This record gives sequence, structure tokens and C-alpha cells, in this order.
Amino acid sequence: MSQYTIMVDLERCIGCKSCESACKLENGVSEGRYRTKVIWVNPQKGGKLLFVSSPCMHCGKPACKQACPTGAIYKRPEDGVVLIDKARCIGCRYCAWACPYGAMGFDEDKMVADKCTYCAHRLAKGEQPACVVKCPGHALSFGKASELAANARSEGRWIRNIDVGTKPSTVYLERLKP
Amino acid sequence: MKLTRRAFLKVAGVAATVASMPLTAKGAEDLKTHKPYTESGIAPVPEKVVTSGCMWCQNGCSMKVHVKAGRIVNIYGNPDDPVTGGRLCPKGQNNVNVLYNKYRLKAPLKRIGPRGDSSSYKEISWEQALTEISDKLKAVKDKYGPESLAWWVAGRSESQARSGLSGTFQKLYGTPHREGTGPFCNFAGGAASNSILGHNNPPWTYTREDFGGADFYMFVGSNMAASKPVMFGAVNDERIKRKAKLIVVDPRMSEAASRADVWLPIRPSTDMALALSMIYHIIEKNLQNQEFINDKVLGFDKLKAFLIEKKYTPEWAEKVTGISATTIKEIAEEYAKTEKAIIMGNAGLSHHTNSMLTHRAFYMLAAVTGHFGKPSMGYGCGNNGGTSMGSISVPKEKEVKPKKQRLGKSPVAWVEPMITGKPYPIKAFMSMGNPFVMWPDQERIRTALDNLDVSVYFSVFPSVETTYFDYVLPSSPWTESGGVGPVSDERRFAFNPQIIQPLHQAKPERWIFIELAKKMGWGDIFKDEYKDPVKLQKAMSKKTGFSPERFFAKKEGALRGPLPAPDAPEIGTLYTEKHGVPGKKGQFPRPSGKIEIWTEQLDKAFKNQGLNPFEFYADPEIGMKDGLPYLEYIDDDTSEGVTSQLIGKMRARRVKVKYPAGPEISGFDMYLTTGRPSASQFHAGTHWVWNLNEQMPDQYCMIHPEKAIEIGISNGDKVKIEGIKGHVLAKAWVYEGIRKDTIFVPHGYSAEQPFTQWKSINFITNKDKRCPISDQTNYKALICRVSKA
Repeated sequence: MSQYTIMVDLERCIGCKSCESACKLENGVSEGRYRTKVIWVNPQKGGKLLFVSSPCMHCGKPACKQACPTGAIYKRPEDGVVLIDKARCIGCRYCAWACPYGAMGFDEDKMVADKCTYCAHRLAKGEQPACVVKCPGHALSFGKASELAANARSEGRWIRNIDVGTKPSTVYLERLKP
Repeated sequence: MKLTRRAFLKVAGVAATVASMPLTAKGAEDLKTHKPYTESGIAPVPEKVVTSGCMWCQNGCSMKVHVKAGRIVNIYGNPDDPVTGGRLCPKGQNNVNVLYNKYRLKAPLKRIGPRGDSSSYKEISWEQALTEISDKLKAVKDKYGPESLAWWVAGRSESQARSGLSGTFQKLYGTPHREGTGPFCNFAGGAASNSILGHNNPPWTYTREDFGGADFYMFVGSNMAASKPVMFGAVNDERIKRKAKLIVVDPRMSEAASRADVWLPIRPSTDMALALSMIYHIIEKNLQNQEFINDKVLGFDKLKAFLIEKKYTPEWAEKVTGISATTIKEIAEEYAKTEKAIIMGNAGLSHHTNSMLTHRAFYMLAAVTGHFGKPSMGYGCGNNGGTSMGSISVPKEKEVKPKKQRLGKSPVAWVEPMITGKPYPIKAFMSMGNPFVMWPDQERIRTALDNLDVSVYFSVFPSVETTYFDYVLPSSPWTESGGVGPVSDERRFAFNPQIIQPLHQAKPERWIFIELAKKMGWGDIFKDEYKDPVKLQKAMSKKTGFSPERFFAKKEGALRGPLPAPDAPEIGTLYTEKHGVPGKKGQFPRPSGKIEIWTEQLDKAFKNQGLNPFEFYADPEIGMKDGLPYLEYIDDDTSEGVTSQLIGKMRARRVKVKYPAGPEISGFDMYLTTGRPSASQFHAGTHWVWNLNEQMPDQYCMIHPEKAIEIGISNGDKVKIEGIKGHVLAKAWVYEGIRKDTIFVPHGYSAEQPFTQWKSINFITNKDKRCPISDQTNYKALICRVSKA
């Protein structure tokens, strides 16, 4: 398996929230619900304002998958994308409780769990996720994890460790200066 | 019941009929959750993809519009656009949600009851509306003269009608009072540029080779990350790739400042002092580009002598701006020594009483260091890409020349003449923007409409105006109307084909103006065939290069001006030795052909209004609070004043720079500055789109933690902000990245918006204290006190 990933560059992100809108338009997500969200983190102790774009982490060991009592959540073997089989979802929200990244949403109309799919329907057409192609900041890149990591290294960038044991695939590049 | 799209639309349609009256604030919002147009599930695969342009800001992004079964289903950026590379901000893509929006105005309305009440309106036909309006416009002209019509051609509607046809209408009617958003936006930047370089446009294009290619960037009063996200994203990308330096000067750590190497939290309204002291230091260190000055600059010695006489040193500027003299010296030296260096100004400089002179000071800084003539350098102010697309010509014998002098540049200058009738009355007012949200002095301007014989409001959405104006006309946005998008900072227009038919009874403004003009008796000039945007474009562009054929030949559907002839080539960087400005003479099209820092003629023009082109002053409230020089106004909006010699023939006000002995006002311990809340918002309009409003739903008050502790508030608390003119409420955002003595409150919110209701910050801003030259309003340097609400 070659894991797909979104690489979020915390230096390039300009906080515009285009990714939120792109996702909502492409995936039909309603007001107050999110599959990806930009969190503005206030500056502290002389630091800088930080923007964190937060899609699903598509973990290597997804906590949501382990928590799901019906086996509705699965990790696609060919590219590591974590998906929900909505027909099997019973709306218990155990997955949302389990996810350490707060990435699991809920569709209150259909009473099922709902989350970022890396725009799996676009991947199937050979296109990249909507948030990535629209990103004004060039802060989001999509591809194979190993290639993106090599690009980041060539720019002299550091990857922020956000792993709490679930082996997240989405990666964050540290700011140049905090 | 399974809610299919058809069922959903049916429900929405029924609801729409019930709510066709203008909506009031309270109780308008019945749905708890707003469905995306695409309902749940993924966006449908489009049947066709049409190239179009965004209607919102001055980034001018080319877009790919996805259409299925006659409906717009999604919008992507256009990857073939060499400037944007297919990137798109939240606003551009949410044009979908502007179209299919339940709040849209659906039919013409006439006021039949008291103002300020939405139940005072009844639906009427277009025929009745336009007949009555044209009858009233004719009567006003007969009774008071053609100068009594004022028309604010603002809004985000397409440019053919907004700037083209309305101009033709104006010439036939004979009023001098037609104005766009410029005096509320960045007109001062273009005015300064005209006075020094001889042309209004910034020097650069937003390509990676030009604007993207500098080694040093200084953004002054420009939060480009929110105002032009796509371009800022590209600059930030280049900055990281090429390790360019970014300095942002802003009282708060804006989104742009948060990306910067250096953030300089300047005291509001003192940016001019920063520029002057940088020049002072550069001259003292002999770092000016003497060869460039000898060759291409007039008036350097006058500037030098004045700076020395006034002792505008970095040490002086430290006291005025709050930026240390050491820092000022460092950045001045680095700027002077870096060839590819860009300074960019924006509304943070324009929204002041010293706006024109401040922009001019930064132009002088760039000029004395030789930063004009090549790509990736220079000074420029955003929102000044204006370039002539052409127009429908009016036969000389039909043109009516106004007999009375125009009342100032700013539409705000119309308010007192509306209320008092002095120096002569304005009796008819047509508006395409949101004066009752965005204009200063909200309390006063609400009283103005009572004195008019007719007031007409054009809009896509209801707003507070739709409970005040006599007639409300629903206009079609963008893909319904087709036409040309707003011009970008870098002089590009994008052509928008008409993709879908207008919804409800809404009509393109082009259609409305043509029908109204026919009723005025001008059907021979406003031809029916011009209702087709392609035919109109063909007719308008007879003498320019903005022909439909040329638009359609480009993959991005956009053309960059100036294109002064049908076959004129598109030019990149301006003010180069090779190109100068297309259609104008010389590298710098001033009368001398050089950059004019000072000439006798210019000096006379400034003196005409009581100003010296190099003299620093702060905004009045800041000056009074801190004992800094500020303007005293000799003329107000009801007096004759003098004729401007700097921005075209119109009334201008005389002033005197006052040097107070010390503070003259007490009881206000904070500075108040206003601006755009975030990239998702564009003034009032975006608050009617749930997908955009939810990204920054509340009028916030950005306040330093120390101040928050002092007044006993926490993040999210409601605070009361009291200024000299009035008070408003806002939600506290306790934020370390702002000066301790300053709060930032965004504009564009109002008490009559559907999702969240806040009294506009413009109940505090002052309409009378404006820049005497550009006539721009001071939105960004007021004084206030803040307390727990």
C-alpha cells in the first residue's frame, strides 16, 4: 500500500478558510458542520497567530475504526484512505468520541457519522481533493506520503509530530519561526 | 419523507413566496441549519464547464463554473489563469450560494408606508417601477436642475452597467454626481499616484515574475491575506521559496502580519510619519539613488530641505508612530539597498484624513531610492487597477453639461446637501451599495432620505436600505447577468458569459438601465440589443482592445489594460523605459515626463486647500487626544469651498494644519480602528450567504489581554464601544497581537442581517472629517472607550 496524504504547511496557510468552503461545496456539508475546519490559534507570549487546517488524519491505526461497533469504518487497502460505509453506520457516535483529532463529524439529517474522505470520488477521477486544488496559500499538497516528505525536506522544513498513537497520515509542516 | 432535491426546491420555493417582502432582522431566520445547494452528498458531475470571472474583489480571479441541468453546481478556479493558477478564496466559490439564496430580492418593491418598516412595501411590476422612477427623475431635473440627482454606482455588480452604461446615463441627464466605491476604498492611492507618476495604476502585475519576484516586501496598512487571498498566497509561497523578507506595518497582527518576519504595530494614522522619517534617514546616510533622481525625479531638493527644516528624523517618528528609531533606520537602509523591493499600501493608509499625502510619501520613498522602472519593485496601493474599457458614446448635442460644480468626490458629501439644501439640494438618490451599513455617521445619514423626492435602491439582497428607500429593484448577480467583472489591482477585467437565466423577477442592471433610459427618452442611445452582454461589449470597445473576441481568445477569459486601441498589446509592468503607460506619453506621464515630487504647479494646488505636500498631520481625534498636528476644516459640506486642482473639477474643502499645545480631549483612552473581518467577508453582502457568514459571524472587538483584565472581560464577552459619535456592541476577542491602546472592530455587520445582528461600527465613524484632497473617510483612526456590556 502506498498511503495518500495531505500535507498542511503551517507557514503557507494564510487562514482564509477556502478549504472549508471548497469542502462544503464539493461534499454538500451544511452550516455548522465540517469535514475540514481552519482553527485560528491566538498568538501567545510574543508568538504569531497560527492557522491550522484540519481535515481527517486518515490514520494508520484509526481510533474511529477500532471504536466502531458495526465495522462501518474501514481503511482502504490500496491507498490508506479511511472511509465510512454509511449503510452500516448506526449513528452511535463512538467514532467521534474516539478520534483524538476531532475529525469525525455527524450528519444529523441522516443520523450517520460523516468525515473527510480526501474527496475519494475525485481521486477516482484522477483529481485531487477540492480543498487542495483551491487553496490560495499553496498550503495544502496531496500525494504519496513519501514523495511529499521528500519535497518538504528539500525545502529544509520540519514535520510536526502530532502522533498520539494512531499513526496519522495527514502531516503538518512546522512554521519557520514560531 | 425522503427529501429529494426537487422536494427541497419546492419547499424553498414556497417559503420564498411567503418571504418576498424585505426581511427584518428578528425572526427572519427560521431554518436552524442551512443546507448547501448541493444538498447532502457530493456535487454532481457537471455537464458543462464555463470560464467566468469572480465578481467580488480586486484580485480578479478567473473561474470555472460547473453547470448541470441549467443550474450552477460548483465553482473551481481556472488552472489556465497565469496569475491565480486556479486558486480561489471562499468568496469566489460561494458565488453559488449568492445565486441560490432564499433571501434574494425577488420583485420590484415600492414603499407605501413609513420608513424603517419592512411592512411598508408592496410588490409592483417592472413597468410601474421604471415608469414612476423615470417620471420622478424628470421632475427633479425640471424643478431643481440635473445636478440634483446623485447616483452611487457601488456594489459588486458587473462593470459594463456599473461603470459603462451608468456613465452614459449620467451624460444624458447632466449630473456631476455619479461615483463608485473609490472614495470609501482606495481612491487616495490612485490620486497620489496620478499626482506623482502621472497615472493611477500600481506599477506591477500579480504574476510570480513581477509582484511575486521581490526580495523585500513591506505591507503598510494592507492585510492582503484577507483582502486578496489568492495573490497573498502566491507572494507568501514565493517568500518561503526564495527566503524574501516580509515586513507588515499594522496596529494589529493581521493574517498577513502573522506571516511576516517583522510586525510593526504602528499607532493608527501615523504611517506618513514613518515614510517621511525613512526618507530622512536615507538622505542622511546618502543612500538615495542620485542618478535616478537626477535623471527622472523633480523636486528632490525641496523635499530634502523640508524634511530637514521640520526635523522629521527617525527619533521624531519614534515618538509619533511608536516604532523605534533603530528599527526605522534598519528597514530604511535595507529598503534603499535592495533593488527588488516592493512597498504595498492599501485601505490602512487610505481610510484617513491624511490618506493622499501618506500615499504620496510612500511614492516619494520609492522614487528617491530609484524603485521604479523594472518588475518586482515600486510602491503601489491596492484597488487602483482602474482602466478604461470604453463606453457607449453620446452625441455632443445630446450631452448635458452640469452648470453647478460637483459637490466633492465622496458620496458622503451629498448627505448634508440632501438634508440642508446647501450649497444646493440633492433631491434624487440612486444607490447600488449599502450606504446604511458602510457609510460613516449612520445616525445622520438615515435622516437624509426624508428630504428627497425619490430614492432608488438596487440590490441582490434585502438590507436595512430595503426598509428606507422609496423603490427597491432586484438585480441579478454575475452568471445571471453576464458582463464584465470588477477590474483587478493589476488592471485585469474578466468577461463573464451569461450562463443561466435570471431567477425570480430579478434583472441584470444592464437591462434595468436600458429600460429606464428608454423611459427617459434615450432609446436611440440605449439600444435593446445592448441587453446582450456580448453585443454591448462590442459596442463599448470600439476604441479599446476590450473586445469580446479578444476576451474569448484568452484561456483565462481576462484582459489586462490599458488597451487604448483595438490592437494594443497587453503590457505587464508599468512605468518602464520601454512601455511607460500605454496610451500616455513618456515613462512617467506627468507634464514634465518625470516623477514629480514637487513642482510649482503642484505646490499651488496643495496650497489652494491650505496644505503643504510634505507636511505630516494625524487624524483629528488622534491629534486631539495626543497633541499631534491635525486638520481644522475651514469649509464644511454645505459651503462653497474652492475648486480642486488635484482630482478633477469639483468642490474641495480648505483646511489648516493645527499644532495643538497638548491633548485637547479626555475621557477616551483607546484608539479604534476598523477593517475587513476576514477573507470570507466583503462588506455587507457576504453576510447574506450562510457559508461565508459562518466563517466570521460576529462583529468582534479585538482587544489586548491587559486591557481586557483592566475592564474585567473575558474572551467572548459582549463589550460596549463608545466613540464621540455613538456607541456599538461587539464580542470581545482577547488577542495578544494588538497594541495595548488600540481595538480593532470589523465593518460590514449590521442589525438587519439574517444570521447575526450587530449595530454597525459606522455609527461611530465620522463623515465630516475627511481627507481634503481625496475626500476619503477616516474609518481607521478614531478614539473610544471600552467597557463590559
